[in-house]
Amino acid sequence: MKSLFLLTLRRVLTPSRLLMLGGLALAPFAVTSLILLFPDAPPVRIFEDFILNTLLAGAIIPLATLATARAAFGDEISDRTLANVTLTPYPRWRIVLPKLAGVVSVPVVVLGAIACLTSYVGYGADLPATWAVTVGAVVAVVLYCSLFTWLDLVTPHAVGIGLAYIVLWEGVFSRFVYGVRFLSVRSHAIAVMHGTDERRFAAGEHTALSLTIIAAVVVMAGLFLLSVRRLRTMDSP
Amino acid sequence: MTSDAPAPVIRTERLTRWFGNIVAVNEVTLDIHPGITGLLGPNGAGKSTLIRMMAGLARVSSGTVTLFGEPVRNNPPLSKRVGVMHEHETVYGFLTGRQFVTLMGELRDVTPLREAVERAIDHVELQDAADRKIRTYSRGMRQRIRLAGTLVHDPEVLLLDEPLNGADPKQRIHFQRLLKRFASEGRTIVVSSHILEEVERIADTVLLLVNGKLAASGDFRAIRAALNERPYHVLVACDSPRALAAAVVQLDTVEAVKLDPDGRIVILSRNVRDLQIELPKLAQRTSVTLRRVVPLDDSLESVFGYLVDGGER
Repeated sequence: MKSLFLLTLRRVLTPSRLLMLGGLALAPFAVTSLILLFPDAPPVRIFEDFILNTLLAGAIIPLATLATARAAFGDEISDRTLANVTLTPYPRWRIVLPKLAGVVSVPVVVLGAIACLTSYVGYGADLPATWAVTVGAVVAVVLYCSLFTWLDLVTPHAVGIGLAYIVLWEGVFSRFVYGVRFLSVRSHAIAVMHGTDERRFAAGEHTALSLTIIAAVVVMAGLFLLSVRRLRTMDSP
Repeated sequence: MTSDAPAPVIRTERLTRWFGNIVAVNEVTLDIHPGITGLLGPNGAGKSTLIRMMAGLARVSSGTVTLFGEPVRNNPPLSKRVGVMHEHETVYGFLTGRQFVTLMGELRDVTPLREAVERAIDHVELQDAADRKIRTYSRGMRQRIRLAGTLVHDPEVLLLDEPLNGADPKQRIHFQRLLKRFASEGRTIVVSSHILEEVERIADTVLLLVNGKLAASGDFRAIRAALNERPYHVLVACDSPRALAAAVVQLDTVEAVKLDPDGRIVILSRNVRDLQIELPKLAQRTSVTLRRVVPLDDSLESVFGYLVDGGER
């Protein structure tokens, strides 16, 4: 398990991936800092809606995790080294778990830290609000990584489909189509932020924190099991 | 009725794999016993798919494949007894050779690991380069370190898909010796190749695969004899084609002689080996200077085509 985790981590920590992750992660903090430079700072609601909801949870986190999640199986399928890891006496869940942990570990630290920093600056050093945003971002990273890791196992077009999902599902449908919100990672992340500190995202209508947590756990476990099942049934290139 | 014959290590029964409308492996039934078995066939014959199904890496569309009597698919414990070296030469370039073999050992739950890693690297004679990044290796060295990764858990069965790709002559000889030694230890080794002579040197038994079908199987000498008896076309360019053609047609090994419009001779022979010996002598006797002697249909595809067509006739 440890060797698979480290192998995945090495694939995540390539210069190109780190550059992309770093560049994307800096965007919300840079935009927030820029906005605060103006004497007429926008209201908190604009900060929450534009920076946290749209930019961080709806674009930066999914794009960054889409790129890093490929290190779990996408890269192995592309360069045809997957057989090295599937020809093992261990059950399939012991392959998926360390690989998922490997792809979650880096973005969870980087994006968690940037969410913490951005909200600390944006909310004017409000610690409960900072904590709430950080927890929400961490939940989003884990869910997106689980989703994109599974996606890499089921299709060779995971990047294209992932981008379409980010733009159409998370960006459009989950905002405007009633009921889709419950199936949106972005909405879950915002619901966690609101549930952890109810003063935040107060204007919107959110799922209860307990229900959000249950849904997040179910989705994560479901995607994990689907990945294990897929690894058992697919051809190893 | 009972049989005293030992049970095969690998058994396939009517094994078939489709990719959409294309049949890659078509109802292949075979038994493989300890020793070296060569899986021979032209590119696209289905060798890699067959090996991947034997290893449990690819699904079967129909039929069965078993190793030691157990199904191979979704049977993780079996991977401790099998070493697979697939055709794709990609490796983790960011690891050193030793790190790669260690990783393979860890993934196969090898204990004690360090000794196993060193032994595997010794087998492929890569100790000097073991601490270099694999991305700096030559193609042949990459093949060797992959082989070390395949051997690290000391498997009873080795499934090697085109393992000699990229190897230089010295490495080939070393590899052949290594496989023969493993075979003498009672292991079951399947080596695929599209090069006839390569398989001839190492395999006791040969499986000929053409268009996904098992065209021939058994002792190599019998198959080789069948190959030697097939008619070959040989093109000969010389300074006096009519004189040479008149002499060549007298040879027992020659079935027909034809002069092409460019004044070259096309000879049809069922015994090319004898023709190769006789032709220079004949040219000398008739004072003809040979300029070029080229086999026209010596490709493996044509050889297999002959065997398959011959079998259907």
